[in-house]
Amino acid sequence: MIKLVPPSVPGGAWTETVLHTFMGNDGSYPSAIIVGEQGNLFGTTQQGGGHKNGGVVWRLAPSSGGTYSYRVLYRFTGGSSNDSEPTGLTFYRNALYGFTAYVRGTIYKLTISSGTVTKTTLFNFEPAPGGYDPAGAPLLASDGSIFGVTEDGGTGLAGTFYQFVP
Amino acid sequence: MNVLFNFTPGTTGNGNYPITLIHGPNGSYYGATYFGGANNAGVVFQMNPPAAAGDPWTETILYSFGSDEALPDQLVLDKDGVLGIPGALYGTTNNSQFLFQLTPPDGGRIWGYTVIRVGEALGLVISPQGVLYGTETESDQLFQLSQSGGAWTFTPLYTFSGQYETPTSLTLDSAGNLYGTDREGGSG
Repeated sequence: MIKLVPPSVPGGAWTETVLHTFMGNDGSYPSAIIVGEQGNLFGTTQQGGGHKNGGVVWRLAPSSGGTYSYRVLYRFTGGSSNDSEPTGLTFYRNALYGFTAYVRGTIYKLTISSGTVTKTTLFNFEPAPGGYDPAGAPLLASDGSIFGVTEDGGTGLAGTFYQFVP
Repeated sequence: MNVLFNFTPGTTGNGNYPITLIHGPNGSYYGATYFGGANNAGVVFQMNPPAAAGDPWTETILYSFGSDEALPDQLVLDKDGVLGIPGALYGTTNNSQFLFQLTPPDGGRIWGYTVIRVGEALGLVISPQGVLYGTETESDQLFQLSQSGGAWTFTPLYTFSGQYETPTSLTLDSAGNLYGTDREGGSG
């Protein structure tokens, strides 16, 4: 994970800073980075994180002196569970919404309150004629519903566009 | 889950294997399918909300890629026209390494399609200042594409070196900083 800071004067040099190096137990194969509130960065890794290599959701919180502190917010179950291989992630109204890709995939929600992380699986994607294998990141509409596409499934077996109301 | 639209495969279908979706104007969504469309090489589509409650969502295919252009894999929207044209879409194709511009129809129905660069453009993002950023793993560079008077300028900004791989995905914050990672994330 690197940060690239643009030059302070036109024509100056960009500056690269390494924010975190994934070592396996804290995640491996990063799959998303998003910007939350108050400078917090959130993301996922598709693998690593201990357990059965299911991947993680992480947070990089800015601290003094331009440094960041890394925390694993959630370690996915891994193994044969569909609670594995997180992909796209969205920050919306103080919560994280994401997809997992393993088997047919899931939609999940993470909330952080007073340092305690709560993870809820909102939906398990279903075989056709349902849509499965979610693509991209969850898109939240103003009413809190989630719009997305699935790569596969649907009546045409060519993917779907869907709305999910939590 | 409510399936609002079913894609259908083949050259007479409406797109196959959607791989990206972004917010569009007025409650609509833009996206791209990797396959399907007139040449089975992918499409850029718009999903339009129903005019009246209970009516179906409808799809408009904005562009159907040619077999020499396939396969679309990234899409960003220039909502405010910081790159020159409000409502224009920018994206990349995987096979041909085209960076394309799709401009909204001016009165008619046909979107304008222009290839603005040929070459790798990973992690494509658009800045509020009117710049497209991307990376090339071949040259290990971060680059920008900016537009003035309809002419595009490609500028290398930074060359990655050392133990970390060139990032293949980029995220932009409101201060103009970029965050990136490669697939390995710097491990090993």
